[in-house]
Amino acid sequence: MKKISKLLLALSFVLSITSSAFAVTVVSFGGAYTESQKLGYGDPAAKKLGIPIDWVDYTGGLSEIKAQIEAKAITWDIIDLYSMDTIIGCDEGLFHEFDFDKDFYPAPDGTPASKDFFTDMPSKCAVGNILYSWIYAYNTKNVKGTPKTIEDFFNTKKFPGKRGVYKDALGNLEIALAGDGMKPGKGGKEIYEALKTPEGLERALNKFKTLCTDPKGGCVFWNAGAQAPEFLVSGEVVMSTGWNGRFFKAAIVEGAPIGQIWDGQILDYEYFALVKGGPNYENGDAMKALKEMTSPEGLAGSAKYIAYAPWRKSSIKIMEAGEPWFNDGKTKMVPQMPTAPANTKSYILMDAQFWADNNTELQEKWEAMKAGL
Amino acid sequence: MSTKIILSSDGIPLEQSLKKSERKNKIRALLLVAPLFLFILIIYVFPLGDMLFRSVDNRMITEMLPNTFSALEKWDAKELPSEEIYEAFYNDFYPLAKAKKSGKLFQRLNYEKSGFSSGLKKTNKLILDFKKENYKEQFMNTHEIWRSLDYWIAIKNTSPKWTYVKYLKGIDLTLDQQKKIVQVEDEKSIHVTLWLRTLKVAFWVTVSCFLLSYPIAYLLSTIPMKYSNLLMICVLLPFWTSLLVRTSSWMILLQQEGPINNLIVWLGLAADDNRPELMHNMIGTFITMSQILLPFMVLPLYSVMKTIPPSLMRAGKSLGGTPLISFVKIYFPLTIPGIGAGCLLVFILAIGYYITPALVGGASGSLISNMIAYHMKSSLDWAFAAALGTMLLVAVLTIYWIYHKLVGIDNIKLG
Amino acid sequence: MALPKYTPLHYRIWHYSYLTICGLVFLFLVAPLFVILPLSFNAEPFLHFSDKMLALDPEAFSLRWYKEMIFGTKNPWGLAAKNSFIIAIFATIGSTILGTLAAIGLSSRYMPYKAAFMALLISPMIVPLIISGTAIFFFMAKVGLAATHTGIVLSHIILGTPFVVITVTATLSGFDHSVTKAAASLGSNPVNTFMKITLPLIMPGVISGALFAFVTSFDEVVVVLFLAGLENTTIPIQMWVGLREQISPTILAVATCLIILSTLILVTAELLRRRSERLRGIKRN
Repeated sequence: MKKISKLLLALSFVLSITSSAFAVTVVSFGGAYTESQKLGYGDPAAKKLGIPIDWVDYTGGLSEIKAQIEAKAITWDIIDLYSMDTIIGCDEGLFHEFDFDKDFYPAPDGTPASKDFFTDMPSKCAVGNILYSWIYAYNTKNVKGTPKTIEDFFNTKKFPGKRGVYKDALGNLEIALAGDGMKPGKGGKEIYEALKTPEGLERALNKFKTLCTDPKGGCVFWNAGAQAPEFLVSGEVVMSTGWNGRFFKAAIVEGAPIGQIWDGQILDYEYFALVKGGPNYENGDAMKALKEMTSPEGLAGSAKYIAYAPWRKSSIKIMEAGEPWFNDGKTKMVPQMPTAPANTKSYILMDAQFWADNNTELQEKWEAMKAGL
Repeated sequence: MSTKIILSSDGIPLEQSLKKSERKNKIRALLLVAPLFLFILIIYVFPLGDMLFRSVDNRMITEMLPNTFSALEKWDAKELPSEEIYEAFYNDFYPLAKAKKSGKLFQRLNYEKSGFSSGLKKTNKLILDFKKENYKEQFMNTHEIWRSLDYWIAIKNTSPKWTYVKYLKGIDLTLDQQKKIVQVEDEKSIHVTLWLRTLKVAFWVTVSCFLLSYPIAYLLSTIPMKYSNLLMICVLLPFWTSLLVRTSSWMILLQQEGPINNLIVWLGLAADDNRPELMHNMIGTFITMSQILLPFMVLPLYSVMKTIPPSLMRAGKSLGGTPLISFVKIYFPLTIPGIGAGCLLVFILAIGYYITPALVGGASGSLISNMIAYHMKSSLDWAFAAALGTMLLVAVLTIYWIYHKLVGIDNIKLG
Repeated sequence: MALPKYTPLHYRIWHYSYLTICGLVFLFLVAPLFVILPLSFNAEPFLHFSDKMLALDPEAFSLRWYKEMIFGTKNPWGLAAKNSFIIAIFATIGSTILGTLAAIGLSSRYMPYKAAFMALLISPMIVPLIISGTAIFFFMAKVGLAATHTGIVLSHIILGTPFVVITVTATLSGFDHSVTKAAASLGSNPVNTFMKITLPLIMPGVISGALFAFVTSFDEVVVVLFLAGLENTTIPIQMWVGLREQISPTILAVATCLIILSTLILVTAELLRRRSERLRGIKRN
């Protein structure tokens, strides 16, 4: 037995050296999105720094990193996060606090980093990455007629069939109210005001309860971004909410029969955070990698592969100068962006603070609603 | 009558010598079992005990709020606490907020009562600017939870170092203000439903596995070897194939526009625009688990049926019984040990299934195991996961014990 | 299976419908595995038979996902396969040694509390994996073995031993103990007897137990899901992640390879079992 345990120990020791322990691990949402990040700025950064960068998939939330901290086995360095999670994680001391102008590259014209971002960061632990949208899309082969508005997503009389819905409350409660006749206009502030009241919340949950229990409707819940187009193409659902970049990829690159509806879209930001005490935190490699990835050129690079807008004003300028920017060499990317004027006639701006404060309770109510279906 | 003591060759009484050698053999046998026994004891039984311990351990919060709990001891829970209690809470909470270590407290208290998370998050920010006086007023201005008696009672309820509350929660019960056991609100009572659903799925999977495997086990045991060997491969190939491979194949088969639905439409059993829903619900869980667990029923049945001589049935017939009667009266009773073994094995495996329901079950087809995984991976209420795990473990061990009494553990056979 | 000519009609009908039912059950058992094969050659990135595929259009088929599996840009399969094999091999060695020794002890007629020991040693097979996974995770986190190969190997040894104990005990039940007595009376010490006499005779049982242990470890996903960090990812973990999060037909390409692997293991196990029966002089039927 001793020999075996010695062998085992020796083996795990050898493996911990030979495996990619020194690589910086970046955690993101997988599929087409992670691919755009890897090709757009991950690989160039790794090449420049000589530090390998590994990409790992997850489906959002802080539970996994908290579990790693609890189990004293942290394996993640950098996490791609929802805005609410950067706030929560920062308050709970999970993430490194940045000094933006010192830690990140300035714009090519010398503007310091903090002035180059679209808006202020939601917390000191977050550095901007992309702007993306929660929209819905439909299978053009299975849907008779053309859905146009967010109300149509909930209209099972006109458009019968199952709907693909995100697993969590995030984003769903907003579109429920928008679909129930509360016009979001520009930003949808009222919707968040309504969701702060018990009646508004009830109304939003009931909207989904009705949709999901409707014999002509019904819901299939998706976990991961790649599932939404998959459900549409496989005929599992006729319409699905999802992230615009995934639908773009499936429709433009793979030629899938998918139509996108921008009415009532939720405009949201995506951030990176640096895990305190991650495997490459002390030696500074993780920070170096993050600095490269969020440079103006780096962020613009990812938009070559997916329809998400980079976070820096200077990156947009780089894209505009380089159109057609998409890697097929013919698709212009600026009009595909969530921020393009044609796409922002009626939109909700994700209220990160609202979600950071109330997510736990809203999620509980949402889960209870789902369990009662 | 005089007895003559028989001596062995070296002069020791034979009885003694035999006993000695028997003891030696006994020790040798025990020594052979010892390494595995110790290994399982340390890396398996001890962790299971530790899990039980964790499910009742409440010390994390009592260590975070020591002042508050000692101040709350005298509080009668009739009206809002006094200034001293708010001050004690400030003394506990302020250092945590300052060191950014309060995250676990939000989580822990929110498991106790929903609403703590947002209230404490807000307090966490504002507490850093509190003046060192009038604590009660400042807290009450921060968030409504500090103006509510219920939340203080919830804090007081977390004060014992050891608690069985998680077990109550596992069957949708909770402690009220007077520490009486009561039902939780309807919208939160989902666990009993899940337990019942788990038992129901396990039961029907067992029944369908039995119905499906009895005929083929009989066929396998009666046809000539060269055919049965070939057919046995059909049973053993899925048995040896990765669970995830089999589940993914069902994920393809059961799609709305997948092969099975296409077949149903082609046969005219359903209209094209009204295809039955086979996945992301209980049907999906049921069909997939039945197929995956089928070999566990076929193999024990087959090994029992193989030992029944075919002449018995012929004897029944020659004595004038119809095939049906001789089957019911002679053959079936002889296969009961196999049925018992197969059913209990399938039932036990089904009751703890996790991967398959998670992939094909959707929201309405998920089982208690999925709840355990949810609390392990997402909500991080590990104590509750441990409590649910312990409850499931007790259920399984009970069935295991019955199985042991009825069939005997050493009768488990694998192909 | 032809029936004699004098069989009455209703019995004929019954007989053939019985055979049909059996046929359908066998189809139910095996057919799902084969749906994967054609779809793994899908040219599109969706787990769905496209109309072109159903029309057998050659353009709809490609080796895209096999290429992706081997040469893909963000490719976890190489590492996963390496880990899976290393973990499974070490877990197999561990459980085979521990399990075989214990089985020999348990088969001795001098063994006290045989049933109780047997019940305990087999329990990891009976206890749902989700519980084992939860408990072992808490333990490994406590002793600092979470997210290490060592932790996973140790837990897989636990899960694999019941199979070894069962198969070796079954082999020993047909074992003629007079052989070892003969060896002992001829002056051989117990270790020598075991290595020269017992082990070769029970070898088929040991190997088939080892195969079970190997497959258990190689396929195990629940415990690893709790225990594994990034560097310990295994094939089942990647399949699980793939099915839940990426949904690319690469999974099907991997699944096809796994089906081939399981076929090989099945054939080996079957040959061993027959050999064992021959050696022990048991005749079937």
